[in-house]
Amino acid sequence: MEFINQWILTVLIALPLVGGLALFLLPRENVGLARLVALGVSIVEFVLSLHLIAHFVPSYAVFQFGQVLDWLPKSTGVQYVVGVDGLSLILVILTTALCPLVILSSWSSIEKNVREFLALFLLLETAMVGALVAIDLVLFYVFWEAMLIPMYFIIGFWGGKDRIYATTKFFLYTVVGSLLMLVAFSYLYYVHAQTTGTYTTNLIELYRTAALLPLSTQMWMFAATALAFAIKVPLFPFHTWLPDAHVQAPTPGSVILAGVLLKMGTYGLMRFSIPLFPSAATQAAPVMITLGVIGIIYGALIAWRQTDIKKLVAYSSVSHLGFVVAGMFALNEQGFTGALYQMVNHGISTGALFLLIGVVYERRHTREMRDYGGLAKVMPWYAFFFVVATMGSVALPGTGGFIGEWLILLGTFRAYPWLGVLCGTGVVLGAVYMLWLVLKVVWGPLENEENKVLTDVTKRESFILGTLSVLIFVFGFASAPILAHTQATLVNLTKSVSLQAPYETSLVGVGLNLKSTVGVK
Amino acid sequence: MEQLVQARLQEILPSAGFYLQASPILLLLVGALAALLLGVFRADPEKPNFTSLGVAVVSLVAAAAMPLVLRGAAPAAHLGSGFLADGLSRFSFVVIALGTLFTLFSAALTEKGRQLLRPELVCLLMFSSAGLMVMTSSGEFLTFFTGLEITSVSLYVLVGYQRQDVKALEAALKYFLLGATAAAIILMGMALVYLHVGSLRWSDMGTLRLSPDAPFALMGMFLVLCGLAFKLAIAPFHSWAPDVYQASHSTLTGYMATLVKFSVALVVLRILGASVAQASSNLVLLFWVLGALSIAIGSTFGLVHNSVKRMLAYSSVANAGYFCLAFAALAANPSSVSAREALTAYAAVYTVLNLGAFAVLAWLEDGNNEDLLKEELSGLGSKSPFAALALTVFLFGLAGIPPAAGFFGKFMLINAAVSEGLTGLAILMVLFSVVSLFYYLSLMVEMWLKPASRNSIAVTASSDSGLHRLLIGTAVVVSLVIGVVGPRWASMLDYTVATEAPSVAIGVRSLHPTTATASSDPVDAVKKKALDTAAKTPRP
Repeated sequence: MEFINQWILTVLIALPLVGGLALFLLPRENVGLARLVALGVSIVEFVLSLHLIAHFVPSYAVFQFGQVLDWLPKSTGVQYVVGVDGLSLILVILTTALCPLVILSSWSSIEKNVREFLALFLLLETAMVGALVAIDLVLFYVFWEAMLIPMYFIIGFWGGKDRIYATTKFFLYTVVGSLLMLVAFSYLYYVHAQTTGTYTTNLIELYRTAALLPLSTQMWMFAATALAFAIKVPLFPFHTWLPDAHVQAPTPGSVILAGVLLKMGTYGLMRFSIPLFPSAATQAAPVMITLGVIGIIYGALIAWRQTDIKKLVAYSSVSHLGFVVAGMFALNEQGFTGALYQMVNHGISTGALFLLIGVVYERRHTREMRDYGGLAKVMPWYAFFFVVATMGSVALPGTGGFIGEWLILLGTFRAYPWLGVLCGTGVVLGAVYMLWLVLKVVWGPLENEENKVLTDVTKRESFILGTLSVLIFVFGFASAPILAHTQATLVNLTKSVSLQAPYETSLVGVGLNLKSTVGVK
Repeated sequence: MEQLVQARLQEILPSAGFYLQASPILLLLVGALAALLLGVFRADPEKPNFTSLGVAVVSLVAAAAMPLVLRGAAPAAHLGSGFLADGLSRFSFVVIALGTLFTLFSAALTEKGRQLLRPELVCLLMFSSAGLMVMTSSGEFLTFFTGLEITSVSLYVLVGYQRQDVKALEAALKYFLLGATAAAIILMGMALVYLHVGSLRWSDMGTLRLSPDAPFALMGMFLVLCGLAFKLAIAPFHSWAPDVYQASHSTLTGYMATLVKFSVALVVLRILGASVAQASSNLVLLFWVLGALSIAIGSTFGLVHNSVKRMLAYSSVANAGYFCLAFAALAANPSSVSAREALTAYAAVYTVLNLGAFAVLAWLEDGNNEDLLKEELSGLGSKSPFAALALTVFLFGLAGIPPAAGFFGKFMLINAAVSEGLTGLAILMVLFSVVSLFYYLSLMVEMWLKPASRNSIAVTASSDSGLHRLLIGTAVVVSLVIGVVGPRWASMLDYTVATEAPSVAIGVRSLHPTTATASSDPVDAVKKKALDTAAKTPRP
């Protein structure tokens, strides 16, 4: 058991990579086998990740399952350090759970170069899991950038008509931010060496020095890191790449983009920007919440005006992630909890919506709202899943979204009452455009001749959609045990921010002696 | 005086240790002459000569192996400061020998490259590599200049080697005229520096005060560095690079774009690192401006070019600008270890990536145009996935996207610059990296995302051999491994520079008392001039 605890994260990182490379050993023609192998790898990955839940100690606000290996030469202080805490645990599970479903959904939506697609997708999974569990800045950065390459090709090769424009825009936008973040990281590395005399990129060590920097320095570095993450989120006004990328990406690409990749931005803010620079975060909070609120309202209004279903859902993501950012920059426990919970909920419900769009797109090859209508008559199960996903998205009580949005509103209202009120209007607007979408697509008269012959969801599709629908409700009713896993970490984060003191945490793991290793005073 | 000179001569005569340490250079020179001689006995000198190639390969392998065998040896200076046997030299010998080997193989495995593989070419290439080695291992201006000229003259010929090609001749002439001017500028700078220091040794440059109060010293150093900037193709001294790169055969372009820059960068490292400037703000400013210009011009001008080689030429201009981050950091703090590590890391990574990229281009040019256009690469991903994948790895590496090599190099450069307070230049670099990413991505788009069109090239079967794949595959694997484990050699290298042993020549001290404390005293140019060839106590 100790052995598993020690290596589990490394295995989770390596398994999809190995699986992805192994796909190239399979014969090129045998597409079905490649699909099965990829699905198998992702399912094994998911099962292994359940080990984390089973053995995670919820009451500890520290990084668990820690592993430290030498990577670059000792003098550089760059090591391979991985671990999960309450913040990353839930996102890792979200990632490993979504990946098999997405691979399953690609069975019908990806028809050319299947093997290459699956390999890139598994590579993406490695990078995503790696970015979530890395506790070393350089390691994180490597995985963070490595996410771009597979996504670049997934959108660019398997995407729609304007895929090349969309994917180039996606790539360049993200890289601008990340490179500036790299300069900030480099500065942090240098400052840490100056104050303590040791070179390290270990996040746990850097938390201590970064928080004590003068406010003006903190502000610059907060700005550089927050920009990188805000682009990824995407926070208004850095959101313009998202609708293009979403619309052009193939269905599996859209699902994983909405489901996990966008969460990397909000995760980064909560993991790096806020705890590294608590004073700057406090100063910048009103600005960040305001941007979040603008995103909520602007995204909702633009979504309302869309005639393209996929664009509508893409803009709804801008709106929902505005909520997440607003919640976390309330900088109180409710806000953090709500933001984290909403990240997961958004991943599930928006992922489901993109899958649903994919289902009809594969049958009709159009995304225009006016081409649909009355689908409930020919595709009753489809209508059912659509309504459930919509309920999750508009945060009806009983769905996970309700709890997330409620906590966010509570947190924001406590911190900035007026901005909290404005966030509330977003909830209303969200209901408007989503119900509008349901009305136009699912209900109403079945007028279009081509729609009359549509077949309902297949068994495979209902399995995927059914799983996601169940999850929407699971998160609605079982919030207490889920949030128990994240609470300790978020309380610790709140404490650090409210005292504007360094974020105290450590790395616990087999063979890592608490007294002698990094992370302990 | 006579006696003094005699004594000094005795001192700098090569010892047995010298022959051992300098064996890579000597091996290359002997190999080059043997390769040339072997060609004489051939009936048709226009035909490729594989015997010469064999000799070259053997001597290059030996030249690469020798420094590894000798890697534990303590730093020592030979021939005065003419040949420094230290970690940096040995490292450069390995890189240069392996790079030349790669170039020769890459030429031998392509149809067009084989046509070029006549004995003279092999000989010239080896002479040029020997010149590079002389440069990187020299500790003073004179030997350095000799090495530079051996390399440059060989390269002038190599560029114009395809003599039926008017463009190549034009490029050769351009390169020659501009290169000769640069050499003259370097010489002029050397003379001015000599006027001030009274010595050509870099280890004696510690006394050089680079301020407007000493205009000639300042100007001399600027001239030397600008001449070197020309060789590195740093803007605004870059205009020759696109033309020359475009017109030469891709394997030779790869050689010029990588090994020459690598070696010159190490020379700049040696000059700046020998505390030439004593933290001169003027030099920092010089490299700030050169770096900023080079990064900006290299990144933006590459956007408009349709020729892949021209694009890569501008990419190499931008990359030379990245070197300036380390140069500026070194000028700000001559003892900076992080700048040394960053430079040795990035220069070598850059060498691997660009050698690989040009080797792929040479492969693709077989049976096609010499000068590939971007759109001719469309659909390459489906027609020749291996070539496209290799080029992708190299280009992502040049763009600095992990996990391809290049990321760590860039990260180290940023670290070096930031730790010397050059954050502005670092930010400039990352912003323009994004601009340059645009043209790297445009190649990806052509190769992977666009279907083959009427214009796109066909990959000929003749050069698509297992051996060729092995050669390029090696470069791919090397760059991926570097990308994963980092450029470890940079922190393992011993950066102690070999210094000359104290002179035992009789009477030096009594004749010229000022020289004994040369490093701390202000310079007395007139007195010191007379003494250059005579011995001198090194810095304490």
